[in-house]
Amino acid sequence: MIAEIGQAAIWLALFSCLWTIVAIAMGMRHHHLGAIQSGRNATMATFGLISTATLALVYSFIMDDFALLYVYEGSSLKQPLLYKVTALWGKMSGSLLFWLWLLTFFSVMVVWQNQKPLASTDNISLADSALITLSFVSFFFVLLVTGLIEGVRNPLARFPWGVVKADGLGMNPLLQTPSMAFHPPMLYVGFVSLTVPFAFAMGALISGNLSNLWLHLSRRWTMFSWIALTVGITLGGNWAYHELGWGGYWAWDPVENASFMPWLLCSAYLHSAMIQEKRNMLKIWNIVLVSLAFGFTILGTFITRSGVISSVHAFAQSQVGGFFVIFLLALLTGTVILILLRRHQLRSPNRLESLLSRESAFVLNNWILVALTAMILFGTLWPIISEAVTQQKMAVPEAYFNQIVIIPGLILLLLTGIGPLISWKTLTRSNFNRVFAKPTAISVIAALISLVIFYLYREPDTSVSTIILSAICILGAVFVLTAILEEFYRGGKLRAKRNQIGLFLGMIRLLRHNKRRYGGYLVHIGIVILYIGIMGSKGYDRLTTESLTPGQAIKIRGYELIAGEGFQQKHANFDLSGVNFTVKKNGKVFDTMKPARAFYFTAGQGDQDTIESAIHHVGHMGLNNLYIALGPLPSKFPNYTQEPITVEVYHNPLINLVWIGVAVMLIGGIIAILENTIPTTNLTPRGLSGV
Amino acid sequence: MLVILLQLSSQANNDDLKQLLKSVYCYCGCSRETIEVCVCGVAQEIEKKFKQELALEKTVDQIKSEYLAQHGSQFDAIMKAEGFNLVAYITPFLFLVIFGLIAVIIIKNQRSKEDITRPIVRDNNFEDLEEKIQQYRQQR
Repeated sequence: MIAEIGQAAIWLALFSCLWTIVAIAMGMRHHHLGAIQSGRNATMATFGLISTATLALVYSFIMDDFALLYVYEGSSLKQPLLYKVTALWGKMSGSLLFWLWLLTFFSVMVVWQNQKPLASTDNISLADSALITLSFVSFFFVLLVTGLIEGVRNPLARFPWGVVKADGLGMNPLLQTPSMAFHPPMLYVGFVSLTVPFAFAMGALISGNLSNLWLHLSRRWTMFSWIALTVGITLGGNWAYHELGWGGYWAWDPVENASFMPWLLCSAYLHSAMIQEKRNMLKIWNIVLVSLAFGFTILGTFITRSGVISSVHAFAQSQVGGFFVIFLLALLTGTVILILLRRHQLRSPNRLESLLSRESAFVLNNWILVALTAMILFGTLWPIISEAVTQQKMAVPEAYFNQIVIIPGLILLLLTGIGPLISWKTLTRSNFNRVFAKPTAISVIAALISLVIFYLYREPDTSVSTIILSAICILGAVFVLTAILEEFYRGGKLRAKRNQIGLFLGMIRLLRHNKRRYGGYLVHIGIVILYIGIMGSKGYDRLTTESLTPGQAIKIRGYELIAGEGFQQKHANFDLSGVNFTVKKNGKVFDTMKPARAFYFTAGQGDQDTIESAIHHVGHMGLNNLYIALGPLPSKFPNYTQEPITVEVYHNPLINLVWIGVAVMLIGGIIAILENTIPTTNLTPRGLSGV
Repeated sequence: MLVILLQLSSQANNDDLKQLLKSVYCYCGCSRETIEVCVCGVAQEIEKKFKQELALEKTVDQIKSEYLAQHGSQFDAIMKAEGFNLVAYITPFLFLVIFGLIAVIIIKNQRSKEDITRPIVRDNNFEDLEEKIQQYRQQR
């Protein structure tokens, strides 16, 4: 019965979405406030209906209702409660329902945010126009989960002929980890919330209100998406690092790329939006960029959900793929038509006054970020292109992506430091010398020193190119850090002097009074830390593989890991089997590590096991990792005296800087989002509220 | 002499094996993991097989070609910059150049024709102004 209520709610949502679109469009056309209010109410109703359907599915999971196909495929009796709930987004149709729920929730937030009494103010009409786009996108997703489209089932559909299974197949064991419980929803939050800035842009085009209001109204939403995407992507990397056993966190997998591309475009938009806010320029470009960012969330979903990457022929076979393409084309066409119709109003009144200006630096930043997106998209789609031309299936290795992104990545790092140094409008030669001299000198010295150190302490297999690229990375990193810290120092000193307080308090006050700008600088510092982490962990990682019996040791970079006794533990839905390792450095024991393998015994996953790698923080400040992954266990385990176990040990230098860098980025992002840039009435000095 | 020759041969075999393990993906279903890093049972069996084939004095290329012929070209972990693959290596940099040109055009088009040499307004001035605005707001 619950499932039927949920199904009915989905069908009703189809109509409430349409009602929102029609009511608001008509209301705006005929200035009928009642119709607009009705459209808003329909938005609320859609959220209520989709919430009902989502709750019905969650309830079915919790109650082990194996009469539902989706519950049978994604859960089992022994599955822990947390994973019964997270099974909601474990497979395609449930994840689409969850996506839809988020979208309707954000639509309600848009209504709620603009819930002032209905009047013909710009603010109201813009938010209402945004609801048209939001409901259009919602309609597409509701249509997907109704089960009408071949390739996507209704998540609440029952087995035919009233069949009820005794137990379910269970969730993929790889997904039964806490980080997987949070990684997909965070990514979805990031993806779905990007619909809101896009909807505001479309709303501006539809309503003809092409002032900067849509930028102001959507800035926090864009920042929110950026933060959620950053968290989601990092959780995914962290999950891969802990669960997949290959000692890495990023492999340029199509699914990873699908989440990274909208992040890049979102970052580009956050920068270019500032040019429009400050200088009233790049109006068309900003609309294009925010549309691209949103379009890439749909494209990413299409790439990963349609099976198009695995084979070029899956494209034709999968109806859901075709449906996504139609939707994307509709969005593209609509956006282009609206931009063309409004092109005269979108002309910028201002001009760039100098090549040496923050505006130019931001345009260059956009160049790199958009080019990087295009490069990654090309690499991701290469298997399709290659198969279409050569008739041979291809895989694009991680090394390929590493090679193509390294140059733009380093240029981007330098721009991260240059941007904050240059003032808006123009920069004179004397000012240029004053601002750039110190960071340039310090970074060049640091790069030269690091070059010598990297060369002197190189290992036999370290290539010259790795050493040179590392030195360039240090150059960029030190340049950015010096530039930003100088900005903090200068601003803090000014505040301290003016308010008769200490330098530290002055810096805190600086941060408090200009959250957006200095929060942004913190994000840049986080990016620098991340770059150093990537340089260490990708450029200087080491792998050693050995087959060991008890008492034998494996050595890596001065560490000795001695295999000890095997152990076995019983858990609710899996058995854990592993080996105790004693870790020695310079002959002294300093810790033990317990890599293992987990064997899940749910109905559908009987013979599946996962790798539970052991990670130990070593080196200066614990920034490096020793990482152990076990190969398949011998038949008589825990006894492995006769049959050795294959052990892979990685030494990953500076890898913890990757996580620390992201944490700093997030702190900066959260500080930046706190600043409200929506102008109040008669607050004329546009753009003075921070960079 | 014989011992040295045997050691050299064993070293060569080890290097060949390492090269092989890095050059193909495991077909077990793990996502794009080379045999070198994949810790599943299938990868172990493949490694054993490669060792045996190297002992039979097959070359690395021979063993790799046989593996790819049996399991499919999508398990090739090395994308050589030759033939049609050159397109994959060149195009991304073309993107970089093309987008760079677009950026230059945007900057040129957006640039004022007049040589404006206004006094530079540093962001610190903006901060002062902003503070004054906030004081004004509070007073209101």
